[in-house]
Parts: sequence; structure tokens; C-alpha cells
Amino acid sequence: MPSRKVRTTPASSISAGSQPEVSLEAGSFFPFARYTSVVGVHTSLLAFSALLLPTTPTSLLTKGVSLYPNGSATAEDGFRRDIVGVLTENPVRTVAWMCVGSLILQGWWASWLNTWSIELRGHANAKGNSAPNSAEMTKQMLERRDWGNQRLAAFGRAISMTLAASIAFHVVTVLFGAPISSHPLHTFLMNLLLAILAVLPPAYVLGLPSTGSDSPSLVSRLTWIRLFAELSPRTPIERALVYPAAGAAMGCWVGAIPIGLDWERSWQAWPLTPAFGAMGGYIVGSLIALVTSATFAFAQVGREARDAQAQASKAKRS
Amino acid sequence: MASLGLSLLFWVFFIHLAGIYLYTRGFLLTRLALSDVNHCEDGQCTLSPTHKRAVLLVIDALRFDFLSPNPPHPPSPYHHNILRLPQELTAARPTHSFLFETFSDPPTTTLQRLKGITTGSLPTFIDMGSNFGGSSINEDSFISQFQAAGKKIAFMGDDTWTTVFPHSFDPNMTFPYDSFNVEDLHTVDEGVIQHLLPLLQDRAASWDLLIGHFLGVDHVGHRVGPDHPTMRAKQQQMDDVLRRVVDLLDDDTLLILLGDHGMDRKGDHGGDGDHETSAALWVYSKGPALLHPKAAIPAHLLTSRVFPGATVPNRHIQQIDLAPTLSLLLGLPIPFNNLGTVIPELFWHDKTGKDYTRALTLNARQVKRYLDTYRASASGGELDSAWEELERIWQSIDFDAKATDQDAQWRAMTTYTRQALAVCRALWAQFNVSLMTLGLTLLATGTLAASLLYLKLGALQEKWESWTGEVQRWYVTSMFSGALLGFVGYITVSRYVKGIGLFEALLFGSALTSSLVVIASARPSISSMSLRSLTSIPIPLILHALAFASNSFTVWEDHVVTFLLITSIVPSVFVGVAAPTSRLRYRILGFSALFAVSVRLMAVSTVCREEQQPYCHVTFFASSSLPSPPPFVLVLSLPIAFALPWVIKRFLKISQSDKGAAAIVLPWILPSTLLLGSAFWVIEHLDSSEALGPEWAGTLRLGRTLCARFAMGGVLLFGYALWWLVPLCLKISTETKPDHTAGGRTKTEVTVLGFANAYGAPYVIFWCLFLGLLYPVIQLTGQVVLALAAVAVLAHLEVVDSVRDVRGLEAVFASGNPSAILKPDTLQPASAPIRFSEITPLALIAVHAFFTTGHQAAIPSIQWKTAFVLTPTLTYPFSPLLVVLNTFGPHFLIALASPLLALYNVAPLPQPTADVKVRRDAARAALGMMVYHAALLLSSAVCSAWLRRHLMVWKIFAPRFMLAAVTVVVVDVAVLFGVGVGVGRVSDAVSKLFVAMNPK
Repeated sequence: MPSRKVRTTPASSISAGSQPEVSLEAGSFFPFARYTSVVGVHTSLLAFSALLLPTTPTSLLTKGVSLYPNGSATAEDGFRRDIVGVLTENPVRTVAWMCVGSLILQGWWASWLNTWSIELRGHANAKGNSAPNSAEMTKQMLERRDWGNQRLAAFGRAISMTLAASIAFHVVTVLFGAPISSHPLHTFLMNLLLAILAVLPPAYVLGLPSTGSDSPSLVSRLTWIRLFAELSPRTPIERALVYPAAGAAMGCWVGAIPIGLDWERSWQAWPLTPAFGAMGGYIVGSLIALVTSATFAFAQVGREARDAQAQASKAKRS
Repeated sequence: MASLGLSLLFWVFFIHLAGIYLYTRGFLLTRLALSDVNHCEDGQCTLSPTHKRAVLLVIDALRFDFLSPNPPHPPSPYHHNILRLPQELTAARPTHSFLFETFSDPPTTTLQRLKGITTGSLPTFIDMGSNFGGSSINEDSFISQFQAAGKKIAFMGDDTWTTVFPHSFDPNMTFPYDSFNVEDLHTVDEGVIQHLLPLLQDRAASWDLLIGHFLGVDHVGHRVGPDHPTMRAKQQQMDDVLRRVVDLLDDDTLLILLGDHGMDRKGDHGGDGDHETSAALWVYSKGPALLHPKAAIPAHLLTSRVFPGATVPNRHIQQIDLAPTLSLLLGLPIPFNNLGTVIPELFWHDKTGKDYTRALTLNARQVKRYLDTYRASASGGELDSAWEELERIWQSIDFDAKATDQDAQWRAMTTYTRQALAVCRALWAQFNVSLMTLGLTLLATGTLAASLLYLKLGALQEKWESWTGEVQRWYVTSMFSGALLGFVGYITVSRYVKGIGLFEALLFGSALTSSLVVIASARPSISSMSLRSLTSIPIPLILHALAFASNSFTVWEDHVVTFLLITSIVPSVFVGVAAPTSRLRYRILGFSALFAVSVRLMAVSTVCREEQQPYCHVTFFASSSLPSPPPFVLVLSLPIAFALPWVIKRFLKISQSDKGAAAIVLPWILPSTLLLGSAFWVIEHLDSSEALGPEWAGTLRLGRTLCARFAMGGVLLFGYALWWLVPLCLKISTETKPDHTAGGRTKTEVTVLGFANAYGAPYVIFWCLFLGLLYPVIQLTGQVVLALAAVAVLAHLEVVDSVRDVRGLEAVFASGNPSAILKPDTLQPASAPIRFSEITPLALIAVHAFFTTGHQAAIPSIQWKTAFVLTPTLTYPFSPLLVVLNTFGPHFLIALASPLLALYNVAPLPQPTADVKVRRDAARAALGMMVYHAALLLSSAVCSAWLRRHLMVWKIFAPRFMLAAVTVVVVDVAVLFGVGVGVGRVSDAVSKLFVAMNPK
């Protein structure tokens, strides 16, 4: 166990860019097209799992079919009202479905991010060492062979950290004013959703923060603190971890506000607004991370091109 | 020297007072509710009754056009010409049936309208009577006249009636229904019908007045609006009921049908819109004709109006005219406070209108007597400006006019009563918008000036005293010159702007000019603003202030405050996680957790306000109907009296400053005070629950009176005196040691325990003494809450201290000279000013403590019980003072703690630099506290001014404004007391002691 941890964490901390030149290099192989498409799919599927998944299976199969006979505007209207009705009918069921959907999606998303970070490491090694280090290559090959088992174990650890975080979030939510004794399941599922959204991907990609005093665990801990206490990510991957997590937390916080209004709407039921707020905040954060990283990457490309031009002209002049 | 900061605070206090005074004068109109009753033993003040009994049916929100034979064009298929019976009967029997459009005075809400209809007067928000809190009426009304005449009243329908008249209805014939549930369209109406018809059928039933109040039309309006098939069905149902009622009616029973107010196009009401103030009135006499067939009523008596959208004019009267009319028709005296005028048609029993003359004479004399009484009362000055004109009209009435000159007499009398109504309406029922604007202007400029002062003091370092001295000269001069400007302004403008007196003009000019001068001299330079200052935007304050724009958030403010409080410490938690040393990390995270848990536990305690139902459970008391403490609080109260002083001592022990005064106050004085305070309420519980039997009552009363007197007297006389004499919490030991380096000489070594917190600890003791003074006035659950609040305040101070240490370390790291970290002096960044984010949690705890000690921003939550803490009977001035202490003590307590942000864990060396800094920071912390609450006041004042015609203004926005206004005054007084007495004494004592110990 510890050996595996040792292996994953330094990798991520290198990619985390404790030296500025790594992030400079990172820009040059920023997989813009792939990242954009994955974020697009991921966020739309998250929206789907929030809005449509909870209406399965009973409602959409039975009512959804009968609602479309003439496809007119009124049917559409009725369909929309019906969706809100089904979503708000049983908040626990809705949030539970959201948890299930986002668990699957976040698992996939986290493993995609992990692949990216391994590729990034590979690029860094390839660029850093002009002659490919044969030992490193062997190590990577071994890693790939050991892929399945290792990934499963890492995922297990991430899940356990998610569960622990959901309990901590539950306590925090109660401190913010959620009911202490009533609605425990409502509150817990909402926090589980928040933990799945915000904690699962970093726990999988970065590994668990450890309390040990050796240097790898110190690095791991400092990375976690830098990302989630100081909120200062430096690489695209870190942004893809931090921005959506912060967005989910803020969305959840904002989502608590409309509950107090006396509109007597069914969607004001606890914990629907914070749950949907978290989901919305996550999607927004994910998109902002994409835009920010892409902007930085393109700026980097532009700067490199300018530098090359300047060097070329300098060479010509001399 | 200390007076510089203090005079600045006094100036801010003056601006606050001026703003509150002007705004309140314009917004909260008051009226003296005279409790006189019109007595009439000889029957000289009434007419002989035309009817023996009356049926008064109220259809809530029955707008005039619902009954009108000439509805607006085009008529609505849903609410016009459906309730047809009144217009049919009026057309068929014009001498028996009368249809009026009535003007119902705003606020057009049922409670206010019922008061108006029954008393014939104009209700205002605060009817300054003996019964300040309740909604029940203590003025003369036709209901009380009925009761006084020994007649029986049957009632069914909207339970607002039973809150207004709790003891007036015959208990066997009273059927109230909940008026709160707008969603329910039928329960009330069906209940009324179920009880109304049998009472009408039963000839033996002994009622003299039968009141039925239908709510369905109003609820349909609120729910789906008037243009909806449901409204049609509802009005159809009402029409059916009316027909059955008319069928069952006796010949000697008068039928009155009215709407208490109208509804706007959406179906809502409460404001002063044309549709909201238009209500219908239908009077029907089945037996005798009321109007003589050949009556020739002068046209000037028959006022009329064209309903918006209609073409034909209709008779139009004041709704309060019903009070004198109904009283006289049934042979009762006119209610004493009535301002209505009798309706001519209903008294024109003969051709010449002899009964009308008599009725009108009685009416005019009654109004005259009322005005005379009001003028002789304490509030009589309100009538000054109009009195001459009223007297002139009164003199012009010729009471002995011959029949030929009758017309002039009628004209004079109706002019008099109508003029009286107009005068009183101007006095009581209109907001004085100019005064409100002046008040808001002052509140806004005052808050801005105080915020700029706060920022300026932070930017100025040691120079702050010279700057403040200069500004002090400026604002004092400008206060006088501003008053002069106000005087000039008054002379020139007063002819065009009504309602502003000389005093108001002087006050406004003086306060506005001086705040403008302060704004000008404290304005921040553009260069000092940067993007970084964006991060210091006080988000909790902004959200808190914005909440008052919504009635829901104002109602749920207690939950909003909990949410914001926890939010406000999130930045500290982030700093704590990232703290560079594990000691600081554990301190910040641990004390933040302690803070959060204390705050959340406080939030468990609540007395729910009415609007929070059904989502709220009372936990402050054992249950919503049992006002005794919950059992576990009874068990906890005594341990807490010992635990709290121990916890405070434990906090001080961190800095070794549990010595000196703390060693006397914390283990001895405070626990005994708290113990006596808790004992008072335990005994009170034993007394009120009669656990020991009635023979104990006297002993228990004596026992608890003594408990409270000893507790409060002990703190006031003994505690404060001791603190004043020995404020410091230090232990100084001197030891003489041989100096090894210099041969035979000796060296004196002085050890000062508690050095690091030399300023903070004495102030904590000062603060604890007020906690002890407050404790006996707060009920048991509130005492637990106060203990938690004290823990939260101290935990917050520790968090702030550690966060400052982290910042100091970071500054040292950033300075590029990390080895400076080894020099302890640089770790105390002497110039780090107080941040507003450190004040915010404290200001929020003040509001939080108010709510969790069993209060709400609603008048019914005032704990009147506490008036009798020190004395068994009502005693002035103690009883009102105790109620004020109970209500606003929590605010005062927490605001008093704000200078601690400047004092806590501040070392007293080097002098006098440390002293200058401490006094500047104390003034700033106090200013910050004032700014927070002034911003809340400004927001609630703006919102209640903006929403002054809102349905909920008198239930939600106005009480919140009043709370905010009193809070600002209380907070201001608290910080003045804290800075003036607490900081002043502590700084004197500390600087005197340490000035000799300056490091060479």
C-alpha cells in the first residue's frame, strides 16, 4: 500500500508544477480538443443525471410515453411541469439518483484526468531527458500491466475518502443550519452528492492526503492544502480539479438561499436547491476551468511563437 | 487623549439619533387611543331604534363593482352581475334597500378595517393606548356599546374578530375559523353558512346582533385573482346565501352587507389603490321603510363617484360612516372616537328629515367632544395647526335653526364632521414622505461617513490623534453652521414643503452638513483603492442588509443569521488549514469549531414568530403553549452557572492572565451572580407551576426578588467598584538575584504574569460584569444561550488572534527576511489594522443572541414577565428598564465586546505606542460595530419606506425597522460605554504601570 502511494503522489506533484518550467512545458501539449469534448460530454451528462435520471424508471417509462401523442406546445408544457413534479415528488429519491449518476460520471471523469496526468508525466519525462531513461520506461510498462488492480485500489481509496468527506460535510451543513434531528437522510444524501462531485476526482488523481511526516506525504499534504485551502491551482489538471469543486461548494451554499422564500413551491423542499446548486456550480466551475486553461495554453503558444520569431530575427541580424 | 476617539463615536451617535428621529417621525404615525366611552343613561344621546336587531354580514374583499348595477365596461363574466340580489332589491324597493360605494381607509387589511368599521376611527400602526402589544381594541365601538346595553352578539367566521374583541361575543354563539390559510377557499364560508342559517331560523335564539364574516371571496382573489371561474362560483354561492338570509329575515331585523376592503386587479389588497379602497355596502330593511318616499334630500348631502371604468355615478360614502349610522339606527350611542358622519338616506324617515337633523346633531356633538378630549390629552398638540379652522366651522353651526334654514345647518354640520375627518386623516393616516426622506438621507450619509472614518483610521498610523483632533474641530463647527443653514432653509422652503418643523430643519441641517464635512475630509484617495480591496467586501453584511427587502427573509432572519455567521468564519478556517505551524493550525481550527458549535447550539433555541408556522417548533419554552423552560434546561442551569466562569478563566489562562482582578471576579463574584440569576428563574418556575402548593407563593416571591436584587446589586455596587479599583489581571513578582557577571552586585528580575494579554484580560472582566448584570433578566433557556454566546465571543477572539499571527508570519516570509521570525517583536505587526471581517462575526452574534434569547422582530415576543424581576408589582422606572434590558441586553452585551478585538492579546510595550494603537483600534472596532448595525438600519428603513404600502408592512417591515432603530441606539450606547469606561480605565491603568518598563 504505501509503496503505491509513494509512486502516485510524486508524479502528481511534479505535474502540479512545483517548478515553473514544467507548467511552461505543460502548455505545449495541452490536449485542447480532447479536453473540450470530454468536458462537454461530462457536463451535459451531469446535467442529464440531475434533471432526467431521477425521473426514471417509473415515471419516464409510463408517463413520458403517453405525454407525447401530439407533440404540441401544451404537451411540452405539460411535460416540463411533469418533470418538476416528478423531481420534487420525493426529494430523497431524486438526490439518490443524482448520487448514482454522478458517481458513475465522476469515476469516468477522474480516470480520464488520471490518464491525462500520466500522459503529462510521460511527456515531461520525454522532454526532460533527451535520452529516454530505460528504467523509467520499464517502470511505466510495469505500471501499465498492473493497471487494473492498481486503479481499482486507488478508486477504493477515493471512495472511502469521499464517504469520510460526506460525513464531514454533513456536520458542516448542520452547523450552517440544517436540521439536527429531522431529515437525516435528506441532508446526508445531499452531502454525499457534494462529496462525489468535489472530493472523488481529486482523491483519485492526487491520492489521499496523508498525515505522515516523510517527504512524499508532506508533498501530498501541501498539494492538497495549496489546492483546496489556498485555492491556487497551477496546471490545467489542477484547475479541472479545483474550480469545479469550489463551484460545487459555492453552488450548494447559494442553493440554500431560496429555501427561505415563501413561494410554497415544491422545488423548495430540502435538499433539492442545494443539491441542484451544487450540480450547477460544478458544471459552471468545470467550464470556467476549461476556458481558463485554454486561454493560458493559447497565450503560451502565442508567446512561444513570438519568442521564436524574435530569436530568428536576432539570428538574422547578427 | 482617550476622549478623541470617544468624541468621534459620540458624533456618529448624534447622526444616528437625528436620522432615526426624522425617519420615525415621518414613518411611524402615532395616535392616542382614548379609552373614553360614550355613556348615555338617559337616552338623550341616541334616537329611538328603527330596528330591534341587526345582521351584519362581511364578505371579505367585496369590492363595490361586484355588487354594482353599473359595473365597469365591459363587465367581467367572472365577478360582475353575479351577486345580483342587492341590485335587484334596490331597484325593486328603493326606500328599503340602499347600495353604497364606501372608501375604506388604508392600510386595507382586515384587522385594521375591522377596527375602523366598529369604532368609526382611523387606525394607525401604534395606537398609543394602555395595551401596547395586543391587537385587541380598547376604544369605544358599537360592539362594546351593544355589550354595554346588555345585548347579545352572535359571531361566526374570520377569527380576526375574536382577537379584536376577545370577550364580547356570546360564548354559546361564537364560531371562529382560522383566517390564516389562504389556500383553503371554502372551510370558513361553509362554517359560517352552517351556523348562520339555524340561528336565523331559530326564532327563540337570543341574539341582538349577528355577525358573519365570509372569507372565500378574499381567498379566491389572493389565490387565482378575480378573473377566474372560481370567483364566479364563489360569488354565486354568496348570492345564494344572501337570498336565503333575506328569506329568513324578520321585519324588525336590519341587514347590513359590506366588504371590509376591496381588491386590486390581481386580487390582493393592503395598500391604498383605487380598487383596494373601494368596498361595497348594502343596507336592507325588510320591514319599515327607512327613506320617506317623498323625501327631498339636498344634493350636497348625496356625494357620489364614478367607479373606474364605469359610466354611471354611484353613491359614495366613507366606510366609517357605518359606525354612527348603525349605532343610532339600533338606538345606541355613537362610539366615542367616531369620525364618521351619519348616512342621510337611512334617517330620512319623514318628508322633512327631522330624524336626520337629530342624528346629525348628535353626530356633530360627539365629534366635537372627541376632538376636545383629544386636544386636552398629551397628544393634543398634533391638532394645533387645524384647530382654528375647526373652531370657526363649529361656531358657524346654528343648532336652533328653524325648519326653513335647515339646509345651511346640515351643510355646516357635515362640513364640520368631514373637516374633522380630513384633519385626523392627515395626522394619522399619511406618511410624511418629506421627513422620511430627510431621515433616510441622514442615515445614508451618516453610515457613509462612519465607514469612511473607519477606513481612514485604519490607514492612519500613529498620526491618528492629530488628524482626529483636526476633524473634531471641523465637525463641531459645521454642526453649528449647518444648523444655521437649516434655519435659512426652513425660512425659504417651509412654505412649499409641508410637515417639516423648525426643529427638524435645524437637526437635519446640522447633521447633514457635519457628515458631509466628515465625508469630504475622510474620503479615500483613489490611489489607495486597488483590486485587493475587492476581497474585503463584507459579503455577510450585504446579504444581511438585502434580506430586509423580502418579507420571507425578514421573517426567517434568525436562520439567515445562523447561516451568515457560519459563512463569516469560513475564511479563517481556510487560513487555519494553510497555517504554517501546527500550533496555529490547531488553535484556529479548534477555536473555529468551538465557535461554530456554540453558534449552532444557540440557534436551537427559538420562539417562533407567527409567520414561521408551521415550519417552526418552539424550543425556548417547553412548548408553544407552555411558557416554562424545557426540563433539560432546568437541569443544566445550575451547572452552567459554575461552568461558564470556569471556561472564561480557562480562556484567560492561555495567556496566563487569570490573575489579579480575574482571580477574584471569575471564581467568586461571577459564579455567585449567575447562580442567583438562575435561581431566580428556577424559583419563578416553581412559583408559576405551583409545584409546592399555594401556601408557598409568598415565600417564593420574596425569595426570587431577593435573588435578583442580590445578583444585580452585587454586580453594580461590588463588582464594578472592585474592577474600577483593581482592573488589571497581572501578577508581578520581583526577585533579587545575585548577578554572576558583575561580581558581588545583585540584579532585580521582574516577572509579569499575564503580560501578553495585559489589555485584553481586564476588559474581559469588565465585560463579564455586564454579563452578570444581564443574566438574571434573561429567562433560563436564554441564560444557556448567553453562556454559549460568551464562549463563541472568546473563541472568536482566539481565532482572530491566531489568524493575525499567521498573517504576521506570512508578512515576514514575504519580506524576504525569514530570519526576522526569530525576533519576537516583529511577530507583533504593530500596524496591522482590524479587519471588518473580524467585526462581522461579532455583530452577527449580537443579532443571533437577540433571536436565540427568545425574541423575534415582532411585538408579541416581548417578554413582559421580566418587568417583575426586581419587584413583585409594576414599579417605575425599574419595570420598563428591565424589559428593555431583557430585549436589548444581548445586543448590548455583544456590542460591548467589540473593543476586545483591539485589546485581546495585545502586549503593553513599548509605551506609549502600544497605548495609542490600542485606543485607535478600539475606536475603530467600535465604529465598525456601529457601521454594521447602522447599515442594517439603513436597509430596513429604505425597505419599509419603499414597501410602505405592502400588505405586510405593519406586521413584518415596520417591526423590523423599529428593532433596527433601537438596536442602533443600544449598540451605540454599548460601544460608547465600552470605549469610554472600559477601554479608558484599562488603558490608563496599563500605561501608568508599563510606562516605566520601556525597553531601553
